[in-house]
Amino acid sequence: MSSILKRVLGLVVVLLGISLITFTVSHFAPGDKAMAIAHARYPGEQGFAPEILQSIRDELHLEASFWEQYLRWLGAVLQGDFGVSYNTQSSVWSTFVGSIGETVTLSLTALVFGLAGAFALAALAVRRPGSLVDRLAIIVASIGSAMPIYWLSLLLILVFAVHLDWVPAYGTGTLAHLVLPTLALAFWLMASQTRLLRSFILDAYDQPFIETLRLRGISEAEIFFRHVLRHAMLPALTMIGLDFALLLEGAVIVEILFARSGLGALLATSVLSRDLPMVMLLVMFFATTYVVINTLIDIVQMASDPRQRQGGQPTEKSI
Amino acid sequence: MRFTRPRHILPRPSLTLPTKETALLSIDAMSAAIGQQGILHDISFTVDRGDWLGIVGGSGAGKSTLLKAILGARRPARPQAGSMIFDGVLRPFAKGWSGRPKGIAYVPQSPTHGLDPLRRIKWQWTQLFRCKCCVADYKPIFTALGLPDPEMHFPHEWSLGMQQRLLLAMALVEEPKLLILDEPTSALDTVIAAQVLTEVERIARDKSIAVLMVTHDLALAARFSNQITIMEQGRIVESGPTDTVLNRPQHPYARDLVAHRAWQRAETANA
Repeated sequence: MSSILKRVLGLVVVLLGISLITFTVSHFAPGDKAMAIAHARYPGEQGFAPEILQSIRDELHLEASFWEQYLRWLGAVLQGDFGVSYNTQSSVWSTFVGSIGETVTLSLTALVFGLAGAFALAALAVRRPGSLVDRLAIIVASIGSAMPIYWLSLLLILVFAVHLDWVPAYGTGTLAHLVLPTLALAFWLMASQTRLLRSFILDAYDQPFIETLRLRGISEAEIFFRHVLRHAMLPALTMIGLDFALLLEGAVIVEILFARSGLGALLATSVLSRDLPMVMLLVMFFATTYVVINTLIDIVQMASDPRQRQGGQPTEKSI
Repeated sequence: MRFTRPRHILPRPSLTLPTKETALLSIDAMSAAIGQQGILHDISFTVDRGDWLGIVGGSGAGKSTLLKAILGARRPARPQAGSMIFDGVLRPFAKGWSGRPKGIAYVPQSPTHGLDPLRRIKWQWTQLFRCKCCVADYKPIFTALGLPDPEMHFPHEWSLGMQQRLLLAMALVEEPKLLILDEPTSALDTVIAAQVLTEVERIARDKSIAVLMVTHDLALAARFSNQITIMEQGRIVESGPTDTVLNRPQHPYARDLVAHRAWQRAETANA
């Protein structure tokens, strides 16, 4: 229990640190913030009057000292108020809640398909390490991890939307719109996971008791599904946790490419228009997700290893 | 219409010999290889009922390959020639039989080699019988070996000595005629190993089970075995009753082993 408490305290420290860093970076970024905000508020207009810029500065306390601005933001956040957008002047929280669904849907579908693919490929590969199938699986995985996700996305659009015209190239709304972004993310995830899962499974096969199970006459299928998989899942869980966090990040790029109205598009527009409250909320969200998911994974992992669950000492190498 | 014979009246793949053969296990001119590389060459020996045969050799002598071949494993080394007669049933190695012959049980060298740490003891016990459609109650054999009720325990919740006795119970529950012990001292501390071996000695005597023990420790083999076979580089170099091998070793390697036995003992005592 105390370890979970420690994690929560750790999360608070991480969030404070990240908020401070993000705030610092955007505070000292070059360029006139008032000008950027004016451009976002009144699109299409050129040459703003000094009075307009000054009124923006006064309204948003842009001339206050760094610490005053930061503490003002922090105080409001502690009361559950993430502020209003500099551009749209609506609550950033409601905008955020409105777009999070798209991103979570995309990330989760990609996670499911990516892991299923990685698992199938790894299970095929380990049947005969070094065989043709194994090498093909590694080649597919290497291509996938060498390929930048934006390039893969563009290729997918070119082939399946432009030439074959099977699915829409961009946009949000129907299930068909979800196909290409999911494919891009899932392929990327599959590539990074296949090689890891493969090596985790091979490591699990290397444990000395597996040989004895064979000598006892236990079938290969039973050894794989009832023993090897359990051992391989312990280290794999950690990787999957990290990957889900990466997936949210990858989703940002994919969403921008496919012009989906998710958190990615929101992050891109708010960074470009210096919409500090929105940027801060998004960064806080990504950091919290990352820490929370990894804490959850640690707990699940601890619960699935009896040696750790009961405070025993693991007797063999733990990967 | 196609007639399929029920499985149980198919001719048995192996030949039953007349019972004049007295040895329980006899290996004849057996060889094995990994790829092109020979691992075992011309191995022949016999184990009589009630015997305790110690197979002694350094690492790489082929001891564990031999043991796995007897248990019907085809990997990593593939037996190529020779034959094995166990309990009156002839099995030529070249025929490619696999799977453990009924009546031979195996005790791995340590709990790490025998138990899945992520599965409950009871689950692992029932797994033994799931494929054979029968369930053996653990209570009598656990009591006989001084083991408690496994309840919901995982292996690590028992001491190493208890886990090793559990492995022994898993081997004995099949009522084997031959028990194979794999390096019983290499992974356990000497006190636990000695306890388990004494237990095996008692049960083997009571139930007249023959024991085949593979070890690198000649002193250990001398303490428990009545027959000793010494292997070097995949060949048997010396073989005979324990007294003969210890007092009149012929082969240089065997002489070397015997000469260093006292030193080996002194070292284990100091350790």
